[in-house]
Amino acid sequence: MSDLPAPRAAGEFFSVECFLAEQRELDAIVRHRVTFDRLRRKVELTRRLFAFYDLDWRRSADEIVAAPQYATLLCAQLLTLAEAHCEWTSLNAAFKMLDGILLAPQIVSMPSLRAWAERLAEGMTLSHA
Amino acid sequence: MRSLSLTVVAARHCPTSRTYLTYLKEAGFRPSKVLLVDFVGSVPRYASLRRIFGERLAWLWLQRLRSPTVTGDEEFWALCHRVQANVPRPIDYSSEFDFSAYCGELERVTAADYNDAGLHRTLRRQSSKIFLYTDGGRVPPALLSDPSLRFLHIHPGVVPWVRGSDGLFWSLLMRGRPGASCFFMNQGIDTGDVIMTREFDRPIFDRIRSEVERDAATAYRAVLHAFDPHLRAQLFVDVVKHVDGDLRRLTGRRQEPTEGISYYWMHPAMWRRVLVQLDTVSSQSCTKAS
Repeated sequence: MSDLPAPRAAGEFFSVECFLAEQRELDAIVRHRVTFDRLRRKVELTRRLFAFYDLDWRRSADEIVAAPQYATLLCAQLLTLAEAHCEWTSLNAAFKMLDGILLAPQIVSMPSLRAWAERLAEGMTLSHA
Repeated sequence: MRSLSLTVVAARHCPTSRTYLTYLKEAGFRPSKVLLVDFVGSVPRYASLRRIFGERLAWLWLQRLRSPTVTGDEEFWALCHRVQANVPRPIDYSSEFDFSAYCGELERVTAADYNDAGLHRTLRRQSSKIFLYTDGGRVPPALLSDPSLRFLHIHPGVVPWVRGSDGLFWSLLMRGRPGASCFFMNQGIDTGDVIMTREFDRPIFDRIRSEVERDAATAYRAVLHAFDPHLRAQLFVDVVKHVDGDLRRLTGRRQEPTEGISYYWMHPAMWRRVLVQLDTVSSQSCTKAS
């Protein structure tokens, strides 16, 4: 992830790029799982990852799409959540992102992410709740 | 046979329609009316005729159309049969179904979808305005906000914990067993007032692993086509029995909007893994392990 472009400043909006760039450790990702959940839902519903959302999680008026590297980073962070806490909805979204539901930005091709997702799916067991 | 004051809006090729009716009959109930609907989706010519001749004449023209039949090869129907090995009342989904034998009165219509004004008129003139939804897409606010109409829906998941798409598979993954909820439809997705919920034993599907490895999409389709409807129908019979057949007595408890989880469609890589764990072999090893 060393080739991440510099995050764009947020102003009064929520900057996806700034947020994702800050979540470098598992603890941070877990702590922000609610925000990840919102991002996951936005991606699954709109099939796009925007650079900015307003404070009500609507896309900002200028509709700037996030840089492709950040879609890749989000996918990796969703897989981190899935692995650490059996967050199968995160794994589901990661699979979709890797399978091309994301119309924009185009996710950077990452065979290692796909292998990671497949490995997590292999370990997925039905709940005994 | 007791008559239910209920209009079943039976999508003609939806397996759930015939499953509800079969289970109701087995339990000794017969809906007063089945409105058998061919949902044909967007038909460009219908739209043109509406513009030229008006909505009512175009509706008459539309009545000639029929929805496409469910297609499946022998392997699909054989698999549909196999996934019903442990359901209370297996059903042959491959043949035609005589809806008239399961209701007091049968009326057949063709509609584009639930937004069709012709269908709205048809629904509003029914003597029983408690409807059982089976299929046909989203019911628009114009119908759901009409206080004279009530739509019952059975969703394959226990709400509020499993709302949204692929309820059967998310229920199995997150709760370890399938579930169903009966509620009054409202304008949200699976957020209506809940009448009754039920969870079921985890199913076992003989040799489903090999079917998934051979043709996963067909296995998935067969489970949704021929297993899922049985869960819904069993719960609906429970609901009917609970009010002793008098559906006017049905009451629902409000769902808290902030409670629960809405799921989106499940990726094939996920449902494949769910399905193979329902194979006889996997299930036995799970039992031994626990």
